[in-house]
Amino acid sequence: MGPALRILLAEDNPGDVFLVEEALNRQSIAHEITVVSDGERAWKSIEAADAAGGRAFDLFMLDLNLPVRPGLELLARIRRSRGRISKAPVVIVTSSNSTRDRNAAARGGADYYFCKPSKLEEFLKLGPILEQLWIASTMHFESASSGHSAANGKSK
Amino acid sequence: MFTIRNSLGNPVAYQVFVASPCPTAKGVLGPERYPGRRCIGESATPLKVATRNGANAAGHYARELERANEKLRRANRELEEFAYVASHDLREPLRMVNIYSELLVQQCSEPGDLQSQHFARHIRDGVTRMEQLIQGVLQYSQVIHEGREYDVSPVPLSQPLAQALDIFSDRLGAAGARVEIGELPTVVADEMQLSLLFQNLISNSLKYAHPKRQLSLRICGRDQGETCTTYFADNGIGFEPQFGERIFGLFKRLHGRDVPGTGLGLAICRRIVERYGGEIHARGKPQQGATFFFRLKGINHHGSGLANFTSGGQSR
Repeated sequence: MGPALRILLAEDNPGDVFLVEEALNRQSIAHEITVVSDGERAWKSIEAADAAGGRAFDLFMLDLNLPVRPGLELLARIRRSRGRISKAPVVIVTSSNSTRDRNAAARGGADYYFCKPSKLEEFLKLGPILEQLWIASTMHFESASSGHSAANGKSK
Repeated sequence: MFTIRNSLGNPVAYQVFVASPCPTAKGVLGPERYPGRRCIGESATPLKVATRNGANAAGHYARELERANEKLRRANRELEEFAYVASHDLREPLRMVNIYSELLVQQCSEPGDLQSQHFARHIRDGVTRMEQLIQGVLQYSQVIHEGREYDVSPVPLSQPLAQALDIFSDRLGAAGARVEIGELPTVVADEMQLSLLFQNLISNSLKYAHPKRQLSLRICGRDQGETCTTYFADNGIGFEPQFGERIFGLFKRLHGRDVPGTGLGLAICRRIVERYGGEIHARGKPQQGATFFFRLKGINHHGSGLANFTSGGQSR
């Protein structure tokens, strides 16, 4: 079994946190999720990860409408990091379907915009989406660091 | 005499009367004392009138009316805004109920747990119905919220109709429906909203199709110069003629749960048509069918500001 997918999930609705885990479980993706329920805590986690070289998380999932700090601010913080997390996949997870929010997320450099659906089957599609984003990003990092120690031994 | 446009954009002529203080008039003006004439505000309630000279009074009432209209416009805008935001926010918790009741159904799928399955199914049914209602209310509020008030243009009705038929092609196909389209005029409105109008009419005909015969829809229109009338007829179960107006009311339905529906579809239709200064009515015959007909401004309508379109080579 390969390494676990390490996710920072900024989400204040416990119902959605459970569903994200359910989607990962049903896709049989080994994962380690750090859940933060407000934008400020998310900000601190990102800062700490950045200071430590940015290897603490493989992927970020941000709700747009978070208490204290909005998801878009977190997205900007991730993208201007010095370390590896600046290139990590970021998934916006939100109940907003507005064009304005979609455009803002795309401009901010989000990799995927997931509008929370009201059907279980649709929500579970998040599993394969996360897996693909993860695979794509590991390939990116491996080709970027080719020649160096076989990354952290990620198997495919 | 002066004219002011009412909420539908139609000019309404008003005349200001100045009452002299005399014991019989009691300083009150009302339609009952001037039969056949309209009072300011089209109100049935008599207006109190202070004594002043005629010119001042006319200006005074015009200003007062304008203030009242502005207040009404603001109240309407706020109400639409409220409905829009409320329906968005209402959907969010419902999403949780929906997904978790689905999980519950999956959990109690063991054959022995019939009662739990039964309960969970009731939750799901309730949620589905609530979602349809919220969706309907959202659509109803969006008729004005998202419609671009000054961005109306000439639309050949065949376009929004084709779009609506396309959206319903699966359901129409499943019902084995026959659709006949006659000549259709070009009207002045918003294409998206017209498509929504047709979608609601088609959905209505599908719901009230006659169980013993193939559904048939006939849509045609007539250009009468300033206005265009469009007819949308089906051969469904129809309705008693006295319900012709009632069916356009919000949440008004003529059937129970045996026919699915929220009671919003035709109310949305009326709101769309009225939004562009038109009107919509229905005629029905029980067991024979229903005909909906709506009048909208044509491209030759005076004051539609679209003279440039007619000379711009728009085919009609």
